[in-house]
Parts: sequence; C-alpha cells; structure tokens
Amino acid sequence: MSFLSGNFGLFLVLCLCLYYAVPLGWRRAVLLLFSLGFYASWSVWHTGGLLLLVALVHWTAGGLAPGVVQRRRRFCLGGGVAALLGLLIFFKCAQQVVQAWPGAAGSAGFDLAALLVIPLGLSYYIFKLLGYLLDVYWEKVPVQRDFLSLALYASFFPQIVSGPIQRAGDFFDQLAGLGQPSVGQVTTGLQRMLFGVFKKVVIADQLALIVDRLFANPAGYSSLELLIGAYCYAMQLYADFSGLTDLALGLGMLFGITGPENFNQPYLARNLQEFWRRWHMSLTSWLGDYLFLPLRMGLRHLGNTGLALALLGNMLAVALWHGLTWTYLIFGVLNGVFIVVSALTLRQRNAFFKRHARLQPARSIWSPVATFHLFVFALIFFRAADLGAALGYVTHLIPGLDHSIPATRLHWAIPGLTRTRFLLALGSLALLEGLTWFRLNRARLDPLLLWPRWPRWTLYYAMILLVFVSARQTQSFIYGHF
Amino acid sequence: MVTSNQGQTEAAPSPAPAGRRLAVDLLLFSLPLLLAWGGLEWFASRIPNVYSVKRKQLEGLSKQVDTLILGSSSGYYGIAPDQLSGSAYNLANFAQTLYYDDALAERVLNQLPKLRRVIVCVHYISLFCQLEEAAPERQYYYWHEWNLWPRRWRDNWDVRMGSAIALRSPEITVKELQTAAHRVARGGDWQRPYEDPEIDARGWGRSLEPAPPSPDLSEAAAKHALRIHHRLMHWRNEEPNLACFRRLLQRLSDRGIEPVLVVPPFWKTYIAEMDPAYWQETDTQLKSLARQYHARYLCYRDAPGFFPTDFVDLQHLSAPGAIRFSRLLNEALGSCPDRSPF
Repeated sequence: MSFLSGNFGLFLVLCLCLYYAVPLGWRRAVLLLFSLGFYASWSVWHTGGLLLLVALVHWTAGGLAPGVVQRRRRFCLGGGVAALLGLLIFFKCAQQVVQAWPGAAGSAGFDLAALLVIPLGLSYYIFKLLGYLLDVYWEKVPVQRDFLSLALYASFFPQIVSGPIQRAGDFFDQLAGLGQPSVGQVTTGLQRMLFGVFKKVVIADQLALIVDRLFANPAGYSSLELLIGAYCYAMQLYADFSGLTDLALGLGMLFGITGPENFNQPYLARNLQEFWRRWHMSLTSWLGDYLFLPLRMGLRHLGNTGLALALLGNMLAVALWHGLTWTYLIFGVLNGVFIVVSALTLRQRNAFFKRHARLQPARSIWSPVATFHLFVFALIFFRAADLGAALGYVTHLIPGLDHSIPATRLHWAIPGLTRTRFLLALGSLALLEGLTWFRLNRARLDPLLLWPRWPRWTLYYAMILLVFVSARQTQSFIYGHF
Repeated sequence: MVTSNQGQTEAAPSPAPAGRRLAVDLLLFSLPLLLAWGGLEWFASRIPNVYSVKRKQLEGLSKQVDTLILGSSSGYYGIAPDQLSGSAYNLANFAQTLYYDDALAERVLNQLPKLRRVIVCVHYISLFCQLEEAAPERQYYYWHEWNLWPRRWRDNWDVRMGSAIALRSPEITVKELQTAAHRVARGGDWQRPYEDPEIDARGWGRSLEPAPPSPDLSEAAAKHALRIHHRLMHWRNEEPNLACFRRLLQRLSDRGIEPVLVVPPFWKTYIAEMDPAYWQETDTQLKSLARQYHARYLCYRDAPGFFPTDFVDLQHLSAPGAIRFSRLLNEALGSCPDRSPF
C-alpha cells in the first residue's frame, strides 16, 4: 500500500477515526495495530519477521541495562549489533545475487528470488534498532521495558517506508507524553502532507520522465542534453525524497509525533561537509554519532590521515547503506574523496580568501555552485543501472568523447512532458525552496500559516488541482526501495 | 491563533473549541473537493477505454467470429485479424496474463457459436508474470468491463474497484474532461463515440503505425527492457500460470476448439539478452502443453525475414511487421478447421 494510493487514504481515515475515538491509554496499541497492518499489506511474512526482530532486540536490550555485568553487556551488544547488521548485509547481498542471475534464482515450484526479496524499509528499522541498542549500552536512553512501545518505534507506519530515522529517546519521550495533538500540529501536518505529495507528483514525477529516458540510452543524446538530465535527476531526487519526508513528518504530526527533519536546503551548501550535514540528515547524523565519531576518536593519533580515513569510512557507509553495488560504492568513494579534499584544504582556502577579501562575494556564489556540481557528478553513479551504464553516461557527457551527436544539440521530445509542465516543476521547486528559506532564515514561522484563510486556501486548492492533473499511475518513491 | 515552526500553538484557546473549529474548517475545505470528485467520477465512468471498446466490438461480431486471438501486447499489436482467413477477432490486450486469457475465454466462449480456433500469443515473460505485479491498475478494468475478479483476493479491496478516477489516473480523466468541454463548446455531444485509431474494428492495435523513424533496437535498449522484464518475472508465478493455461486449453478441448500456441518474433538484441533458463522453460512447457492438448505450437521467436522497420520496439511489431507476421501465421495455420478437428 503506497502512501499515494487511494487505499492508503482510506486506511489513514480509518486509523485517525479510531485513534481519536479511543481513550488516550489505548492510542499506542491502535497505532501499533495499524502500523503492523500497513506493513502486512506489503508482506505478512516480513511483518512476522519484523516482530521477531523486535522481540530479539527487546530481549538483548534487557542484557544491556546499567546494572548488568559489563562482560555480559558487551556480549549482548556485540550479539545484537552483529545480528542486525548481519541481517541487513545478508539481504543486501542476496538482492544483488538475485538481480545478477534472475533466471537462475529458482526453478518450477521454487522461487529463491521471492524468499530473498528485501523487506520494505529494512535499512531504516535496522538502523533505528541498532541506534536503540547502542544508546542503551551508552546509557543515553533507559531500557524500554514496554514491548508495545519498542515494536511501535520500529514499525511506526509513517516512518517505516523511508524514515526519517528517528532516535529512540526522542520517540519514546513523545510516546510517553502522547496526548491530544495540538491544532497547530495537525494543520502543520496536513500542510506538510500536501507539500510532500505536491513535490512528488508535480515536480519529481515530471522530471523523472526526462531522467528515465536519458539514463536508459545516453548514447542517443547530446552532451548538453545529458548535462540537463543530470541536473534534472538531482532535482528529482531532492523533490522525491524531501517530498516523502514531508509526507512522513506530516503523517506523524497527525498522531502527535514529530519526527526529525531530513533536509535543510542542501543545494545551498557551500562545501561537501556542509552538504552532507543538510542532506538525508537523519541518516548522516546517525552515522556521525555511531560511526564517524568513534572512528575519528579511534584514529585521532593519525592526525589528518585519521580524519581522512574516518570521513572516507563514513561516506562509504552512507553509500553502501543504499545497496552493495559498484555504483553505490563509487558514489561513496567520490563523495568521500571530495569531502576529504575539501576538509583538508579548508584552512588554506579560508586563509586565501582572507588575504583576497574582494573575492569573498564571488566565493559565496561559486562555492554552492561547485558543491552542487560535484554532487551531481557523483549522482550519475547513484542513478545508473550499473557501472557500465554510469560510465556510458559520463563518457557521452564529455563533449567530443565517443559521441557522434553535436555536443550542444538541444532537441527533446519527451512523451508526456510538455514545456509548461517542465517549467512548472522547476518553478514550483524554486517557490517551495523560497518559502523554506524564508521560514528558516527570516520569519522563523511558516509564512503560509500567517496568511489570511482565503488566499491560503486558494493556494492549497491550486496545489491540489496541479497534483490532480499531474498524477500518474506508477512512480514509486526512490527512497522507498532502500 | 499563530502556529510556530514546530507545529506548536502559541496562545491557543482551550483544546476542545479549537479542535471543533479545525473539524469545521476541514469540512468546509473538503466540500468543494468532494463535489468536484463526485462530478469527475460520474464523468470518468462514461469514458470509453480499450477494454470497453473490445467488449462491445466482440459483442457485435459474436455471430461471425471463428478465430479468437488472446495474449498480451505482443499479440495485440502483432496479429492483424484481417490477414487471417475467416473471421478473426483480436482480444489480446496490454500485459494480459494467462489468468485473464482463461477468464475471458470462459466468459466469451458460449457467446461465439462459430468459434473454431483460439490463438494464444505467448511472450517470453508470459509464464512468469502476473498482472497485479506488472500493471496492477489494468486488473480493475477487467472487473469494470468484464466482471472478472482480480487474481488475489486482497486486490478486491482496492478503491480502484469502485472509483473510475482512481482507476484511470486523474490525469487522463481531466484530459478527457477538457476534450469533452471543447466538444460541447463547438456544439458537439458531451459524450463522444470512441475514436481511438489504436483499435481497428477487429481489435487489432495498430496505433504504432507508422513506426517511429528509428526505433531503439540497440543492445543497450534490450538490456534496459529485459532488466525491467526480469524484475517482473518470478519462478513462483510459473505454476499458477501453467494451471490457468491448462484450464484454458482444457476448456477449448472440451468444446472442440483448436488451440494454437504462438510465440511472436522478437528483435535479435532482445533475444540475445533473454535469460536462457526462462526461455528454455517456456519452450519446454509449450511443447509439453501442445502434446498434451493436441495444440499446434508455432514458434516465430527467431523467424528470419523481419527488418528494423517491422518493429516499433524490441518486442512489438509495427503495423507492417504485424501484417507480414499475420500472413506467415495464416499460411502455417491454413483455413479454420471444422467444429471437431480431433
């Protein structure tokens, strides 16, 4: 059941009615029931597996409590972490095997591929549960004795498909104070849901028409067209994923649970380190706390080499979290190298611009542009179906290299995408980003919620109308696959 | 009331009246949307589609049809009924699986008194694919137009079983509404007869004529297409599909109707990228079914004499290609048999 399906609409209405109808003490149970129902709509077997996993973590966390003997605590932590990571790695590897040899993965009556299909949202709830175990071990959060709460933490339906990866302490605190969500929370939630759907349908899905075509056959397009295709993918990915995050956060707010933000205008970042602090923030901050910091501390005696290794290790983890493929690996290596170079030269660059102060304005424009382009380049590997396809795209992107089509040709006929829709998608993204910038930097308030009702409602109706006329049957969320 | 960034309410009045006001606001906000939805729903339910058109066409030809063509889009585009001897009708459709081939046959066999032969066009993916995984929205058309239930019980709960807008995608409904409004403005009827050139009077899909100047038949395109197909192909689907196939063949055998199993031509790059395990299994099963049910099995997978202009893509014939293929098929089949060929 996709978030954008009619069935999900009915499911949500039913869930909200029941949630608000029952006494406060029952609400967790209602949420858990619906969360498991939502997950079971994808796979009943995986729902059972998820519950077993939660039971394992619940039991393991009991052995991590502060009063327990240190040796046993270490044993429990090691066992729990190994089991969770092992499961994640197993499914990610199995997925690659099945994709590489589709026909060999079974025979009549036996379908290995079906058994090895990666459970929906596995990467997200494994990281949630891992973080919980580590937090209990480091005594940042107490052991959660209530199985229902832990199960709800792992399976909370707004977050299970694609995060954000909320920290256990934050979630349990909100769960403990679960009461009547404020009117502001509900209206903000509804607004964010609308924004999320709008970003997905009106922006991401339209740009996907270009991206899918260009990445399927880069040899048929000019360098300029491929460059625009790469930009479009960056915009599509951002709109798609931030739209999904908006939906997840909005849904959570309807139940009084506020999740962590995932994006903070990343394409305005001035360098790659800053970029990765503003992109998929719930994952990068998770890895920062549980991987980068321990790595950095462990390698600090190596000085800059240690820093470089920690940064590289962190980026590889970010990349391989998406899947164990060569393309993700190269995406991680590229980002890692960019970050290492950026981090190790930052001091010299700052000193240079201090000496040449008149170049500062140029730097403030150049830095985000350069950062964006580095990321766009790495994204080609992220998007391509395999390494050969990625190299093919890059080769054809470079003018004059193995290409018979004039480099600056711009002659598109993308079925289903008119110029108006293309401009509308880009314009809408700019407008929404403008509103977000205003909220973050100037008003500290959502400017829309300050508008009088009728202009605000008119805008909402216009957005709904655009969603309505742009909606297609099939375009799943990109980050729904991890 | 002012709402802060985090959704916290500042200086909010007591919760109950605020909640009531929110509920009233939501209701007021939703009212125009619900009205618009209802209107569009009424309109959308009256828009013809490839399924309703085929049903009506077949009903109109029921007294004369002696050959019926089933299968997916490769059959829909690939076999031109007017090139076959006798009176043929093409009931193949996009992504139509063996489950629906069988269900449709069950529905129409009794209404076609002259039917002597059924051609089942089998694609490389046919034995391993299910409609609910490949193109789920299409299974609801079968319900709306033919009263055929989806294969999985849980799909019966999908809102698309009841909503024409959810089924057609809002985009198509709105586009149709625009066209209808233009027609009314020009003094025409609100509801038009179906005039999609895709479907000819005998159910053949020839919208792809003329073929695009240069269909992409490259190795890269084949790899891309098969990557998508292999994602939809699962060994677990083989047994249920074979069960449907056997049921269909038994149904035909019981009525003395000749079954013909046909694999259409594919472009060579597509064939080269096929997974041998899937193809071997398909070929073996088709041979076995043909033996078991006294059916003819005609495999044109690698048939020579087809050129790039005969294809619109790697696995679909263009109109000239379909005519060439249908003539070949007609030569191989000969005239329609008498009522009891066996």
